[in-house]
Amino acid sequence: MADLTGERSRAQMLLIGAFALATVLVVLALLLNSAIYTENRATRGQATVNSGQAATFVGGLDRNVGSLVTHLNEDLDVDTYSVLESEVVTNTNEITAGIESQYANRGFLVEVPDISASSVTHGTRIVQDTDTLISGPGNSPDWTVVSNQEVRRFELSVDPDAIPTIADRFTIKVTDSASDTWEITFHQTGSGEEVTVFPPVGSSESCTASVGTTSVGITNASMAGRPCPALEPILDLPGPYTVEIRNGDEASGTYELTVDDEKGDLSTTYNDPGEGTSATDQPWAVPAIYDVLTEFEYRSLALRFDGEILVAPGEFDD
Amino acid sequence: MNRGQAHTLEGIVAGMILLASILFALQSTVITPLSASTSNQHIENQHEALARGLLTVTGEDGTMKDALLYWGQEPDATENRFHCASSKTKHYTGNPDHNLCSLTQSELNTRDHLPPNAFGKQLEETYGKGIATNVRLRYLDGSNHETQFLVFQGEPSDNAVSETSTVVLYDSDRLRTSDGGEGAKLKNAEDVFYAPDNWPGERIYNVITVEVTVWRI
Repeated sequence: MADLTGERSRAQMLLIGAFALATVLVVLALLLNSAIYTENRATRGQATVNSGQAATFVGGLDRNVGSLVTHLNEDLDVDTYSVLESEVVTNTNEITAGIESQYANRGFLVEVPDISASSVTHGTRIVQDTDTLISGPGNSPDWTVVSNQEVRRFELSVDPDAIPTIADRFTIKVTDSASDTWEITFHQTGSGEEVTVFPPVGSSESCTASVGTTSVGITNASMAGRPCPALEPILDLPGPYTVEIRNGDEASGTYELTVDDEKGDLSTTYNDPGEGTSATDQPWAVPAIYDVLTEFEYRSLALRFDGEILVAPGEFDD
Repeated sequence: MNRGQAHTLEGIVAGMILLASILFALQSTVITPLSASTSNQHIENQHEALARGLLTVTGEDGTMKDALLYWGQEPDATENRFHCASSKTKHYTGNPDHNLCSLTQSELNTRDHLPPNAFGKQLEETYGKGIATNVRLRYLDGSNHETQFLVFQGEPSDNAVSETSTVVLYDSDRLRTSDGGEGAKLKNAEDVFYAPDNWPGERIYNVITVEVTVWRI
């Protein structure tokens, strides 16, 4: 009797053991397959919320409205604030209507409400477009360009003299809202132009170019079209800024910048455009648009994104 | 004897269950889109990111706009087309008509189906051989949306990716000549250009969407 009991239980153990192993293998297969499938779903771009498309839309809106602002600012036939304002408003609304239509055609709902004159900030564009000395409107070598303004798109193309003493070189002084003054000096070395940036505390840094006349972008930290690391700390300064020029007679060239106050409210009086190309007619200033505020909403199947952007091409924190 | 047969039967059944479960586990591989297609999902994502970067960069530095305006009227041509595109179509498919093209073979893009300008160079450097590209331009005509191809290499496969970008053309923008110089202003070239002036009398000429589609061939 005892033998029979032992044998029977062994045979059942075999069956139970087989069942257990079978269950383990099936569950293992299930687990591995779900891991593979989950990874596959996770790598699909469209299955996830595709925020890249929304970012492209906002970037495109910024770029296209910015191109309109630059286009209108550079059109000297539009020279009063009322005409500038109405042109910006009309054309921005046309552009955004076109963008809305294009996106709707592809299945995205974007809404950019029409802007009005209150979304537009008046500014002034200060330009020297003839290759003469960088002296002020009254031909003074030391002069204040702007006092306590926001500045964008400050670009120069200058040919400085070779001056050994730093204090006598052509210098741009930028003072920020914390009263820190940064000095940017330009001079010719034997091998080309050199831009040196002197911070209020600490040592200076330089960028060089191998030609005598190069373009320098203050608001985008570039020299001769390439990044200039020495200018990058200037981008982080808090505005508004006071920009002064020292020894403007030690360099000649062209430049322009855009500031956020009306021409009549600036501390320096500038000429009007088109008066001539001699040194006394340069630089001149013309009414311009400083920035445009526009709201937007983007809606796709999986994502809704709304906000507002301030379009100001070439602003310091661009 | 009955017990022996019962034990044998149980042993055989246990063995069969085990065998069956092992076979089942080995056979059940997941069929995913990764396993049976010409393209890998990771590579597709990479191409999409490359396309987005390409469109952003060329939009910012103006080479995309120059490529849109690289249109003209070749001498003795009955139709206007992109400079040195094929003679049968107005866009680039890879068969430039040398009789109607003032660029030499060395000035054309090394890959014939890409435009011979900076935008084509960027496309060429972004995507290597084995990737087909379509570039479609959608413009507005009143309330209609019309299409003009810039590059067309066939119908995309099921694993194609695309990215878009928007460009605004102004009345004062100039067409580009085949050597990159400036041609007529758009407002004077409406009968020659593929897109009409959607806002006549206003500064804006048209708003164009550039769609780049790439896939592996």
